[in-house]
Amino acid sequence: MRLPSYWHTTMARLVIRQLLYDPVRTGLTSLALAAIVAVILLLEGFLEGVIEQSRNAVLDRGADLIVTQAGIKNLTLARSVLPQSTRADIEFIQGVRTAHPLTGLPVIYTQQDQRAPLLLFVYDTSGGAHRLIDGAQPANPREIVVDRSFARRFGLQIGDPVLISDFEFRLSGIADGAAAFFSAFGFARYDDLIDFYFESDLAADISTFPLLSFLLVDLVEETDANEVAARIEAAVPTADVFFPEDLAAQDADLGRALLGPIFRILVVAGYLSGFLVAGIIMFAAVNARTRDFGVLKALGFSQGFLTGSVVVEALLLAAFALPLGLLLAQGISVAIETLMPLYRVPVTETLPVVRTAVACLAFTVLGALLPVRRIRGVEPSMVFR
Amino acid sequence: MLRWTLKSLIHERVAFFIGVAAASSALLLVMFFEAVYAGEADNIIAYPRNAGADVWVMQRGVGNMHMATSYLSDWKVSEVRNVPGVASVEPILYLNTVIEAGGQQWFAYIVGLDTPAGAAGPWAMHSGKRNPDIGEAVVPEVFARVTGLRIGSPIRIVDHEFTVVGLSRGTFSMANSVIFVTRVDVEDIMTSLDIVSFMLVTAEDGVHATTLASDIEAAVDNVEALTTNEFLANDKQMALQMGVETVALMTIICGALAAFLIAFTVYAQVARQRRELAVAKALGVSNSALYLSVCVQAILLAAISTTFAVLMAVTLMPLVTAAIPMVTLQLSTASVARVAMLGFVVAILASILPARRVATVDPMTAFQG
Repeated sequence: MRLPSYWHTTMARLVIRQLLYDPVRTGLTSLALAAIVAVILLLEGFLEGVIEQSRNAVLDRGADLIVTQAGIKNLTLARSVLPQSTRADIEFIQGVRTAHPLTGLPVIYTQQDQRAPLLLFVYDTSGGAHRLIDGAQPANPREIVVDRSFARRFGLQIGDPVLISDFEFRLSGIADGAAAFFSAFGFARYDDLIDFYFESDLAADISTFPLLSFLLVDLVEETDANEVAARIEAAVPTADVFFPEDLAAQDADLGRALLGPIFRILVVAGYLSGFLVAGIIMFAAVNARTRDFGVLKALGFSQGFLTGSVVVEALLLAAFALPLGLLLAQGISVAIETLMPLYRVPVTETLPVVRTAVACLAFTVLGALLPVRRIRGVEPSMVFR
Repeated sequence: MLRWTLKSLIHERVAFFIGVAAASSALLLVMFFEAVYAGEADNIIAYPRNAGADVWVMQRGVGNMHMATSYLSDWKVSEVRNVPGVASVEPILYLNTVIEAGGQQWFAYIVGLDTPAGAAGPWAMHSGKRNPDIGEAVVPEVFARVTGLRIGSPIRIVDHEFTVVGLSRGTFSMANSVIFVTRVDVEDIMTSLDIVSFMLVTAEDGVHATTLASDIEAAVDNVEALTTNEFLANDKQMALQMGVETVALMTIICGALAAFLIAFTVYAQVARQRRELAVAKALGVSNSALYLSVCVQAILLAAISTTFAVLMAVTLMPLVTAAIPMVTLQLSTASVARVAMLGFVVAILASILPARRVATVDPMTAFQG
């Protein structure tokens, strides 16, 4: 059926006038929808943040290839132990320029009654903190760099002592983005590792502790990385070799597996809330204008026209709400990352934004259809009563 | 006035119901979040809670199990056994690592047992063997269900292949499922010999756990000995603190959303009743009485929304857990009380905007056409 030419313009004019008639109400409505959009984006952002942090934990170490213990496919949550001779074995392989040692040591830091996990990365020539926001990389004995979330939580400042297992480090720098899986990272030099093992409470049981967890391999320029990886795998059967992107993807998958189900439930609950919010908003909007709808019906406007105008109104509100919600989510995200730097909450990732936008438009239209029965029930004759 | 308040609240039943449903869903989000973390925190400490030790002995400075590593030379087991008051000592070698099963990666506690295992082994079985032999593993029944493992299935831990021989109950957690293997196998995985992580100590009759813990620390060098209660408290604190900030944030965000939704419902209500409010004002009802009416409406709406949210939580949470066995939801009285408190704060906040609208109503509009 071809619609009359005035149909669209009249509907657009009606909807726009309706929205401008009570700007406070329109603003509130958009804000309510924006709030739900923000909640969904933040929930998506929390999961994205965990994934991003776990990925960065690998990529920030900076290497062409990363060598782990055979069977270990993760950097942050798995214990990897390589024989100490592995470094020499790998540096002997053609195409390898250097193999930088890196040891991951999960410790529990205690200050008064507060306890927090700290993943201590012990490095030699590469693999330290990627971005420093204060101080310097460890250069002198017993110096340590920690993530800013850790420094903030325990009130640590440059020069302060950091006591781990009764071994006193001194804070030389504060890093940004050095955390994953709700755990901050610390960075110390290899020279201190043996001292740490011997002087701390661990001395008696030192044989147990890893001296080498990973090797960060730099390749000779213009070398085929795949070929070198294959050579390493063949020469060192006790080790596995990864491209940093692949190892990062493994850690990201682990983040998804650990937290995905929880966040999916919460996002679905968010969508449900969105549908109900849109429903109440549109119901209230229609309800307040029952008499107007009666007038329009008396003037000969069809049920389809009136329903269409409600749906268009809902879509326009959603169009206002989406950027507003994104802005709100971004504001809250910045606040979270400033106040609690352990968390990353990226809310502008393309896929979650598109998913949320589509969902927002869908639940707004669905919500707009809730009061359709009410419009259908409006008698044109009521305007003459 | 109260009767008018109640009548006007339920006059538009559908609007009222949708308002309640929308606010409830926001409050339900808060409860879901709390329930997820409470459930996970409870699962995380399931092993130390059920292992049946009086005292836990570990590397000095450790103090808990979650996200921690503890290593001791195994000759210390004999030293602890010789401490007066010790009835039995069961060492375990423990490794938290990522395992692969069902095409996914999982973070797990690998508990290496001396066999036959006593209290350190699985405390409840679904099926199969309780005591694994070398090359065998006992995995949580939920884990097996989710990953498609069965008795006899292979499972890979680091670079070692194991065969699933038993399915245990109460040992699954998204953060760390407990998988039991032999201590020899864990030593092999870790390429370390003659080590233990924790000693599960039972006290002789009449010996107090606190006294025994002190005696062990005095008798054995470089160990931490904690009563089970202290150990559990540390572990729970560690588990909770890793998610508590997220929970607090989501509570604030969802609470703000609930406040906004209730405010919107009451605001829409007030907007609809503009004429009635004008009549009431023309009849001499004071602004404060009308504010109170709006407040009562908001409080009632919040109270009903909170009740509805709690009922939905009680009904939905077991269904969600049954449908998604990986997620354990635990609704506590404290959580319900917190949501009720939040609901009250939400109601007060939500009444501010509509109250302002009431103040602007002109009594003269009652006499206009």
